[in-house]
Amino acid sequence: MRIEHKTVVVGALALSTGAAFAHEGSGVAGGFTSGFLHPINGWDHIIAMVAVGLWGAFLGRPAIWVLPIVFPMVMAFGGAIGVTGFHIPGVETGIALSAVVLGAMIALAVRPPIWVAAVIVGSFAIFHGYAHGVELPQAADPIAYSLGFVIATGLLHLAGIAFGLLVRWPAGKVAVRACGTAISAAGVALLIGWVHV
Amino acid sequence: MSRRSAALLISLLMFSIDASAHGSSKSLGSFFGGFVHPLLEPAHLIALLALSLCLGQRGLASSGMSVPAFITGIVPGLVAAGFGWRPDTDVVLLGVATLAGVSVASAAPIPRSVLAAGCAVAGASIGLGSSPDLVTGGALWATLFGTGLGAIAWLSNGAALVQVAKRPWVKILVRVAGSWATASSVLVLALWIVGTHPVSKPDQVTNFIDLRR
Repeated sequence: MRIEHKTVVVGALALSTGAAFAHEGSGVAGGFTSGFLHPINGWDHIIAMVAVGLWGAFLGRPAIWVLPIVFPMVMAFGGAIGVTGFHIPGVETGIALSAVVLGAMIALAVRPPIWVAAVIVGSFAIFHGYAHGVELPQAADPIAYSLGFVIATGLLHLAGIAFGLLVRWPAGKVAVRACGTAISAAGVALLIGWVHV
Repeated sequence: MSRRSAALLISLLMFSIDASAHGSSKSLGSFFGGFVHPLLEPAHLIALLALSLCLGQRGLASSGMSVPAFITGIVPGLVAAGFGWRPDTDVVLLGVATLAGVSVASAAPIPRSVLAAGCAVAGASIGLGSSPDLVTGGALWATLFGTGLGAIAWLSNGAALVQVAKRPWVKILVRVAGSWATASSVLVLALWIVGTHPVSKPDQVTNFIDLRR
């Protein structure tokens, strides 16, 4: 290999090194990071949150913005229950069921009244919030942690809404309903234990 | 330039590190450190965010004396902090953020007097909670001055930005942000009420608000 090629390769390798994290996350940054990653590290959370945004977009106005507004606030209520130490049985089952039900709603193109949709979404929000809330007392910075997971949840909703906007086209409607089917199937797989998160 | 020289030069450039062109000036550093401090304290940030959204959604003109009330609160708060009074004000700020966040999320305006009172309380709380540790003398007052200007600037400019946003999807985003502020605040307040959060210890709770009694 010629010298200039070697130099460029060595230079590129030097650029590709990552930062050396000698200390584990702590303080505000550590709290925010762990909170932000908490919903993203679980496929059960991801598919359910995307399903909320997807269903909202599928239902159209006003659900497209009511659901992402209602969900965090009810989730906070569930989180508060988790913080108090009160035990809710079957939390993981509830989370998996949220994916099954919300995915099925999209797949079957169910369009209930807005208040029914809000109640369904709100019920499942309690389980998701509880799962995040039990981790809150151990967080490096609870405020940053709660900000982190609330923002991550909201961004997942946004991703679902963005995909759900495809319904304005006939092929998009098929794609969205197919996505709902996939979410529901993934929820079933989680429920019966075929997949673990 | 030959290809060999160019390759060597590029590789050398890749190994360069940051060039710090300015030396540190304690006063300048303290002032700007104070200016951004409200954005670096989570409780201060959430409260300022929620209040900015609330004022912007309602309109600065219709918010009455809210911004002047904030200034009226933060100035004595900063002065008191400068003279050593440093109570833990995070819980108060989270309470204000919750109230403002609910108003924004539901698009239900709070009465002007309540909003002004909330801004005054938030201002005082931010002021009292902004004193840096291990800093004294001119640097301390420069920091506090920067904090005051910064908090007022972030609040008023944030509200103005929200106010000028006319597109429907931006208005919805504002309401979503309000729900986020509410959710975050409620969770930490729950932690405080249960008594597992070290933010607020009994002897540091601000006298006029003591939810544990």
